[in-house]
Amino acid sequence: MVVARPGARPATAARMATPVAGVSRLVVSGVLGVIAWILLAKYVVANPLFLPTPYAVLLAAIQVARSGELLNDVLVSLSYFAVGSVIGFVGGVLLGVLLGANQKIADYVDPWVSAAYTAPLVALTPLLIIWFGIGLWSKTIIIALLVVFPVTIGTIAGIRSTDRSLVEVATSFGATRGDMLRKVMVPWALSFILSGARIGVGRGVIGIFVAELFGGASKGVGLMISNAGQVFNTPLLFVGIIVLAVMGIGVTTVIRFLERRMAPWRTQSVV
Amino acid sequence: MSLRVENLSVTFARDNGAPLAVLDRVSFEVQPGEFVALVGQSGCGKTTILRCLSGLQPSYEGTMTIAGRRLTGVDRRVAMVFQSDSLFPWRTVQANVAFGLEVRRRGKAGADRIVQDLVNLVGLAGFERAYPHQLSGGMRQRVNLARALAVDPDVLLMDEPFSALDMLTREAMQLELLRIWSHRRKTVLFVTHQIEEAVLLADRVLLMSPRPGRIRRDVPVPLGRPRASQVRRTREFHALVDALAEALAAAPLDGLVRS
Ligand SMILES: Nc1ncnc2c1ncn2[C@@H]1O[C@H](COP(=O)(O)OP(=O)(O)O)[C@@H](O)[C@H]1O
Ligand SMILES: [Mg+2]
Repeated sequence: MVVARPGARPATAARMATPVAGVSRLVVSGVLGVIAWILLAKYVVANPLFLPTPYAVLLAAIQVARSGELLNDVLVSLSYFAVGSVIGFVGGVLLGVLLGANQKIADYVDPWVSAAYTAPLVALTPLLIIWFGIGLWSKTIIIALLVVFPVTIGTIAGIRSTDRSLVEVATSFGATRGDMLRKVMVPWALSFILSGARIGVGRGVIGIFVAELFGGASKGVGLMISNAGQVFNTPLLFVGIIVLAVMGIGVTTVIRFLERRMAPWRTQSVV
Repeated sequence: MSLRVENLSVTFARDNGAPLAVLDRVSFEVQPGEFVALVGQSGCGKTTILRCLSGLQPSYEGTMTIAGRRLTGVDRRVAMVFQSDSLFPWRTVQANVAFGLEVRRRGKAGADRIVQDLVNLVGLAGFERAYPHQLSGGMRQRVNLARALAVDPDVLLMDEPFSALDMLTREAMQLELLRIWSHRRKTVLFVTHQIEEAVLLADRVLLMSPRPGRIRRDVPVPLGRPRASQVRRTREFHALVDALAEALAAAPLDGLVRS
């Protein structure tokens, strides 16, 4: 009998080589980027108000970090961002399962979901503030709105793409409709759902800035950016943008990791 | 339990042109504990017969019974080993084997023992926690077989389970199937397009005509059991294979008896 050890995966060598090569490429591209930035700031733009040097940005970052302001801002933004993302994620999965598994309902609702996915929902921010006030609720809802539709669309795509032969296996064993969803379609769709979440969270980061810009917040990274912009504190503005980018990259990386962890049989990410 | 199929006909509607008659009054019987192979060219309707029996084919004419009780739709007395192994990629070996027991609401404690026994029987002890993508094609078909056996069906349907395997693995798996079947003596209907495979495994071979599929001949295989790989080299084996190959190649209307 042909024996493959349970732990042995195909192309183990390739899998191991990728992260190392990836990290070294990341370092090289980071260093090159910073050098280009320095050259651009010092010799091309040559005006710290228009473009600060990385060094000036670093100083600004250290200053706000020391005073504790930065941490405070990050925590405020992160709190409603996390809650909004979770609400959007759960809502997106539920809506996606409903539409993915019920063609009749989907025929009527799909166009609205596509429209909502494409529409610049951040533009609703002022309206949501009128409805829900300037507190954290309106901000939470903006994030949820930005996350929910990409997740819905990913879930629908995943459910509908379920391998027909797996559906037939389950049918032939007498699976109920609930079994089919829980034991076949949703597990199949998982990596599609997570891809949707990745896109949604990326949009949510933009939502942080817009929500705080309109939202009369007293704390938050978005507010920090807009305040810095108003007083022409360009280094601090850059600090805020970089913090948001790092938050976005962090969450996206975690989701990518989950995608690989939970669907190791897929050799490529689905989106 | 004896399996009986009477006048089973299936016609598929086609978007353009006339409907496609795939099965035309197919009748046969499989005795309790008998291993019957269904052989025919690709496209003659073998899979369609198994789909009818397992409740996956919504429209057909004719009747199917097990021990005299009719099959209508999905039936607990039937389990299918699918052609492509169709394992759930997110389930481990043991969770795949347990699938049928789960959807049939078999208690966890009882299910665990059944699963472990079958994993051992099909030779996958030590691989309980492996995932399908970590297994070879032959091992995946072992899981596929164990998953069907786990629900303890009266009738086991197998749809060309070894057709995607390389020749050496396929020959090994054929003998493995005989060994496993000697421990779980189910009534088996085994579909293949390979005559050697049918002769090696079966008590009886049903030959089908090209579309529309009919049972053209019903040929007993008088080889003793247990059968080992040496059977393949005996004169009787070759004589049977040759006779069947000739019958299969003959024109559809050659006047041969229909069972
Ligand atoms: N759902 C379907 N709709 C239309 N034609 C089908 C369908 N399923 C099978 N067929 C046709 O029926 C014929 C028999 O198919 P099948 O039973 O899979 O043959 P076999 O398993 O013997 O190769 C083929 O010509 C196939 O194209
Ligand atoms: Mg077939």
